[in-house]
Amino acid sequence: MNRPSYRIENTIDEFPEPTSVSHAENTDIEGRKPPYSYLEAKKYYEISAEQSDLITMVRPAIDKNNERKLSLEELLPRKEELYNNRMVLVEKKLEHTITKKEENQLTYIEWQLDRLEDAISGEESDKLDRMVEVHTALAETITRMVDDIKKAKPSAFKTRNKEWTVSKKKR
Amino acid sequence: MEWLNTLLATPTIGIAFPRDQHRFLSFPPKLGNYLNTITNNGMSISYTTNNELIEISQNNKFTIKIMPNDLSVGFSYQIAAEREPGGIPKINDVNLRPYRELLDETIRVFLDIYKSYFEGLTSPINRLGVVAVVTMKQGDVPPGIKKIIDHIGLPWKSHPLNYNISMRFPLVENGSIVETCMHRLIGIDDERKDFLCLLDWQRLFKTAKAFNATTITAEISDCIKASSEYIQKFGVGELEYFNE
Repeated sequence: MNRPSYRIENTIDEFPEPTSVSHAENTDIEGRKPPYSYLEAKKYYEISAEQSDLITMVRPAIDKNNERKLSLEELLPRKEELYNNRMVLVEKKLEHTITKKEENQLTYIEWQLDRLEDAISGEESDKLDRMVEVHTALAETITRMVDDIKKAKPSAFKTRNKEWTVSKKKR
Repeated sequence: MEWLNTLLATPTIGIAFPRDQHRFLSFPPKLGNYLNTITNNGMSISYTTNNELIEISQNNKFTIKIMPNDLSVGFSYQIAAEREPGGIPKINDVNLRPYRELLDETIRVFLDIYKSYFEGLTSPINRLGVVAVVTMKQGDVPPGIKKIIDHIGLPWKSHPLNYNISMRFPLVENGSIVETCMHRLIGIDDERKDFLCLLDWQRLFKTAKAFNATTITAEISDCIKASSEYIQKFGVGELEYFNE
């Protein structure tokens, strides 16, 4: 039984898979399975986790709040350090003395600070987001209702008239 | 690999060695010793033996896989479902832990099984790999990966609407060693959707190199160091781009 070496969680199935990707990808032109000895492996570089053919583990869904808890634990103790580093790099940027490496570092620190900010207030802002969504939906419904009311023609008199004629005929 | 610590990331460590049926077939009787030591430490285990695969699950967290030509240990989060009478099972929250902690534990479990499988003898090894699987929301993608996606979109002057990229590059070629990394990126151009990144870092030995219990420890820590450096560089965006 030829199996690739590091099989990982079969999470890939949960993600959108373009139609062009198929198992044919794992075979070479002659339709052979990827080889396993080093020399052959070097030729193909195909032996890898992506060829996972067994569902072995389940991966938890990405829960933002769990992730936030982790980010908070990891980044909060380093908050000062991150802000200080950012200040140094921003000053350099303003003085136009920043190197490419430092610029990358700055983007990375800002990413970390974003994550920290999200960890601190993300849950609340998510709630606000949801509230905004609900209110927007409500506003739309009300607008639609008002429009409908405006469009509606007063037909009550007509109906009454009809009823009256009918009853008159009956008499 | 610092950026992995704040995300849902899990490690796997593995080695590949020349096919050795004798060792593989003579292992099951000795498996008991290993399982005893685990259960004595209060861990729950389950294991299956197949034709060419022995799979051990420790505490439902670590999955050890042994084949005639490779050995790997992977971590996965334990998802416990509580049964509720008359209702659908309730799935408890998972407490995420930083990647570096998980990696340390995985190394420990790997070394245990390595010692047990090779019984302290020297063994030739072809390849040593460290795999990190990270999932996140598209909006949380670190700058380095964003840069790569942007770079790929350059000819079209836009972001790909969705992508499923798999690419392996040689990183270092040094005498008898070749280091490569397989990158797999799957995502959609929507901040709320999920994004998957798989980094399969490998050190390949051109001719199988012999290791014993002590030298493998040093080699693993060296590989972890090298792979961590690369993964950090990849996440921060410190790879070189010609358009900069």
